[in-house]
Amino acid sequence: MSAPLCPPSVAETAAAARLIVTGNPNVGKSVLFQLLTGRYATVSNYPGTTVMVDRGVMTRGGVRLDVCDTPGLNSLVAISDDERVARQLLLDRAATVVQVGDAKNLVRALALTLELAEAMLPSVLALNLMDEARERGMTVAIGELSAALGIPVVPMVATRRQGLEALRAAIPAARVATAAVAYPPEVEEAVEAMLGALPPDVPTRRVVALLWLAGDRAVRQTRGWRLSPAVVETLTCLAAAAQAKAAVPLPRLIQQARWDQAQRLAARALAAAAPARPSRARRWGELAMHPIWGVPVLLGVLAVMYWLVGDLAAQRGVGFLEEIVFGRVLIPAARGVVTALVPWRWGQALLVGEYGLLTMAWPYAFAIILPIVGMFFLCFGFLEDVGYLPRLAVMAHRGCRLLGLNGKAVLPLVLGLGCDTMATMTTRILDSRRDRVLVTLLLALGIPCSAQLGVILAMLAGQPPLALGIWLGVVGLMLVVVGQAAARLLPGETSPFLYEIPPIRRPRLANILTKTVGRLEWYLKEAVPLFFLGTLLLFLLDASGGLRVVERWTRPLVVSWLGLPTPATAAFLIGFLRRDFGAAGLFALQRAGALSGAQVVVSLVTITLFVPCVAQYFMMIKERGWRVATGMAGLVTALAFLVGGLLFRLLTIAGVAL
Amino acid sequence: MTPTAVRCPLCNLALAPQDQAAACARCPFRPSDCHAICCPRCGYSWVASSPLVRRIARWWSARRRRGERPPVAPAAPAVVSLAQLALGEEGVVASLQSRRPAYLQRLGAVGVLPGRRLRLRQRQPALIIQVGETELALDAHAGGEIFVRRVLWMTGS
Repeated sequence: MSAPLCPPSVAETAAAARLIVTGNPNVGKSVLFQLLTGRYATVSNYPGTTVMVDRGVMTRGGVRLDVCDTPGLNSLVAISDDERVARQLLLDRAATVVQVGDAKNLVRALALTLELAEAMLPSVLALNLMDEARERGMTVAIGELSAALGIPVVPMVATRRQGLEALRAAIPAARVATAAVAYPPEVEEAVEAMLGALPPDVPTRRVVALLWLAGDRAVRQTRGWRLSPAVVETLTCLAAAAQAKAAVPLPRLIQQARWDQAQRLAARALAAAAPARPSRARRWGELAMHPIWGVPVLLGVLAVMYWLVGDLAAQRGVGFLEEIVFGRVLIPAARGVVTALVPWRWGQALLVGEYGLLTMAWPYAFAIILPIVGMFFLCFGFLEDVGYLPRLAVMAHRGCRLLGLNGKAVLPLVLGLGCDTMATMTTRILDSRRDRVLVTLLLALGIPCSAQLGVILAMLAGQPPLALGIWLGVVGLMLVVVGQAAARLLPGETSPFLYEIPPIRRPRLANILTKTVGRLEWYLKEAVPLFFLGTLLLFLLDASGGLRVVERWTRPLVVSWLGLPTPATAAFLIGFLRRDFGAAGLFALQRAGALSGAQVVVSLVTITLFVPCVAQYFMMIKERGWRVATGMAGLVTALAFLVGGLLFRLLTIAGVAL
Repeated sequence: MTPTAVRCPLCNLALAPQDQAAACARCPFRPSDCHAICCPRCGYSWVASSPLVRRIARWWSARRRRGERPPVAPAAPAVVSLAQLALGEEGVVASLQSRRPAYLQRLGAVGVLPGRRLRLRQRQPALIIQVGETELALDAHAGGEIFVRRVLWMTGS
């Protein structure tokens, strides 16, 4: 009944130049992509690392192949944005597919294989994570599985490059799987009827009909342009009529039939020994999510990170670099060279003056922020690869309900502590538009990025613990208040929480280091030019006397309302370019002894809640549209100054000495 | 037996409150200063455990049972909601009922479908179930939307 509608050879010739790496979430697609193309793709141990399509090239026998790495897919029926991207890529044009499957979770991989077969995609099944399957006492009969499916199956341990050559050799042998699903008569009849109504020039008509019946709305929209409204109406009627005849929802019947078939196929190939004792990694994984023991684990993780980032990097590292390397060696040397070589006074000021490129931008970027960000990225990469972040999402599930969100939203929020710009993009893993808007707003409002966070922690480390408490309390309160208010205002309800927990894995040092270096490089490329631009703007403002004018204008706001000294204006001004740059300006003020304890706290709260940086703003425009993005930025800035001023008054009235 | 009734640990006599009063009447100590319970039949006396101690004891025994399969009374219903499974217990999905079709689609796509076995691993702070080698975190709603047939009830008889 489910015989191929177009001969596989047609698909194969068209697909020769394109290779798509796809599969269930968190099975190692990006590792394999990296091995095939030699291009780095971010690899972590949680579902949702890849949210956009990465592209690369591999050569095979002198032939260039375009390779795409897709976000994880559980089914071609796509719900969230990242799945839609992957599905679109698979159905848009003919291509060869390397399906990466988790060997220990064979049924699930095969359910997707069967769906790819229905989409007439020639594929190879790369059965990854064979080591984890072996640990659990499972063995897979590769030959039998390959024969039953009708496609090449390659066992692999991608992180150790095992099976890579076999996979390269198997790619030319990719074909459409012959294993097919026998659907119940209700479904088959409806599919037959819809095939009759679909114009013959629509490729892979069967999968379009099946997706339609499975309730996929997007397939109607994206493919709808090829279909006349009359056809769309006929199809809708046919689907509705078929559903009326069936007792069970058709989407369920389709899924059930597919999984039954996958289970039969897997049962033939899989031999499971007695289940092994829970491993130590598994026990740690359970401990990290335990309602009671999870809390000390979380506190321990936070304490170690605080010590590494806030103390080791932000205090000792920055102290050494700023005072000794820059303060005693580099800057005096630069001053000497510039005064000797540049005769004009304004030229000297541009390079080594108060707002000089060499005396301000350079040490801010490399002495203050680089060590902090580097250490943070290192810690973060470790947590990502161990698989702690999804467990954190479970622990924070309750807290997230306070923000009007479900636990899955923790992931972008926590990633925001690394970089708010990338985190704004990660909102794609969330199911509803409401959640995506809400998380984007909270990211812009109160989640400091690693660079900013490091500087903030360094400033707070010099204050009594009460200062840290006030800062945390005010920012946390703002997140809850704004989250609750927005959750009530935005239409729709909290989307249900469903998140996959990956196993705890031993992180690979090489991957953590590569990831950290990659992120640092990206940081340097993105942030440092902005630092120089900001410094240049400040210098021009200062030289033209504009800074004094701006300081006079904003005097009521900065000095009277926030109670800060006038030079803080410059910090807020450059904070418009990057929040961490602004925070670094405040840090420099504090080190110079220009801020009292209360002023430190007020300025930190204000700069934390302050506008998103330029890059994040652009990402917000890209993901949410310029109207929403601008509205959020305006709201956030107004709130920042409002709360900062209120806090200053509260501290003064209460007479809190910090 | 009402939960407040006390039994003598030595002779297993069920003590009614008036028996207790009778035992105290024969005793030289003042009842207000004494927390001991005295059995009027055998004369054995002991101290009743406080609610706190009972709670700790119950928590401790539940903890020790967690690894094993918990005993299931034969009269327990065959199909229960996910929330009613004991920690660590296995069940076969019987049906899924939700007014959120996209959610059902998602659950189905990761293999939570009628006929598949699942195991309840954790209840707090989120429900965690294991299906095959997939571990899923779900919110409390799901506890009332997924119905499972208890495995022990099926095979135990």
